[in-house]
Amino acid sequence: MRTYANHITKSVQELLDQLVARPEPVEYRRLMTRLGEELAPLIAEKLVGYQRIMLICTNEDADYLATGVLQALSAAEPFQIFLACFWNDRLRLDSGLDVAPIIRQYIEPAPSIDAFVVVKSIIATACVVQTNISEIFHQYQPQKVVVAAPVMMQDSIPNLESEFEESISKRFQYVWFAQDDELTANGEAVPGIGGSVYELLGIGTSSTKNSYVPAIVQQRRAAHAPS
Amino acid sequence: MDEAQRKRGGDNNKRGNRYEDFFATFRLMQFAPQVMKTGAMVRLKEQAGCPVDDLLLVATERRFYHQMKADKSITWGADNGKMENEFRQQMLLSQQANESFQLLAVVADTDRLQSLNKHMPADLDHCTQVLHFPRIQRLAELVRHPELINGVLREVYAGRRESATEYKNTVRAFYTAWIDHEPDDNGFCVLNTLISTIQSWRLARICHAWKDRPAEWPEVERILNAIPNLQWFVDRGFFEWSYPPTDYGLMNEPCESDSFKRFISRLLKERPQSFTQFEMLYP
Repeated sequence: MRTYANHITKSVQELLDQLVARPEPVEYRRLMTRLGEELAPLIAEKLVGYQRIMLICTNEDADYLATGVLQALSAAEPFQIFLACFWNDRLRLDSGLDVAPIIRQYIEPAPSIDAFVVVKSIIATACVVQTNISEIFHQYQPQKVVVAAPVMMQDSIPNLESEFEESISKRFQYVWFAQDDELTANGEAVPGIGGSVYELLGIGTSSTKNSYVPAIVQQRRAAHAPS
Repeated sequence: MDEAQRKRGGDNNKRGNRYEDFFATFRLMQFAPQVMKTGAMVRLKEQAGCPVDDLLLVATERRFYHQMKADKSITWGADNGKMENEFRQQMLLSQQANESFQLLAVVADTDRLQSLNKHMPADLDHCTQVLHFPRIQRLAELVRHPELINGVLREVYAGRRESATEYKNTVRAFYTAWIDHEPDDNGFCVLNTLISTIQSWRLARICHAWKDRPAEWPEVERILNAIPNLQWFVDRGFFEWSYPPTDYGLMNEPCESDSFKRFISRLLKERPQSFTQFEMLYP
């Protein structure tokens, strides 16, 4: 069953409904970008007083959801935003043990970071989000971690926080539009975001999506390229 | 998730989070670098049926007998000197067997560490060590054990860079493999087999030597070396690369894998001359 956030607008609800209808990739990408733009002001509310932000995403979300967040945040507030993009593999043992090893990362150098903003198209088991936060948390020691997703599973927040010490998890805040409580055998939320985000975005399957290099990474890397 | 990606593995909930299992994982990891470097045979057995028998670790040159004492009030003399007597019996048996050995009392409390050290029976002192191993609730806490984080994990994990998540995955892999291990004919967990199991699960990227390099590898090296600013390594058994200051990668499958062979084929076919061309071929 789906539960909507109290603050959700009719237009956002329509965007979520359109995702579930599984449109063609071009339209699905537009919807994800729009949802990122809609998440941005809610994220910004939680970042008052913070300036240096690290926006953390996966390669499949970078060009759409994360770009929507990045552009809307940059336009609205004078944040200094650094991008961290991760390419995660996924392995699950029969016992339910779930890991998301990082096979590649793009992280823009930052002298210090005040807050992490972690965006993900959907948070089901929270394994990927937990992995990517853990990987760089101790390096940057952000004062706040805002985890934002259009759709989350109802138990994903306690799942995520259980992997961290309280001194870290108490820095977490969340932004979401809808929560689901049903998972398929493949670990996909129902109705979720309509199915496998890689396939719906048209960037491959779960086993080929890591070949995808986001355009935003290529564009932004140029600013850091060695002379 | 593809069925092919589902891996067999231990049921972590089957036994709960036992102090003994965390400690066994710790000991296995301590000896893993030695096994990986030399191929030395290291075996571990619970309840070995000897006087000090909670955990028996048999390494190439020495046998380590462990008694776990999570009890906050344990002393050498408690219960009519039970612990002292067991250690003495073990010492005598090991001496009679003319074996190289060490006896270890493993305690969860620092108070017990001090007390047992202070009141160590004189005749046991030369062959006995009291070891502090804290109670932990989660594997993530084991990752931060100074001995693992400062040395063992750097040797066991295939990547050159410290990685909080990969260190955790490595510890989790050892723990899961320990819980799930099939004992040998003598009831021992064989560390060499355990490491092979972890490698087959791909649950962690374990450092190893890549021995059988294909004939075309020198050509691949020339191609990679010609890409400006790309740094790359294969000496720890996995293809690792960086493109400073922003990009870094460590392939999830080892250099022996079909996946890496396909990557080599793509490099030979496309012959990338820039990082932008290279990254389109990875992984």
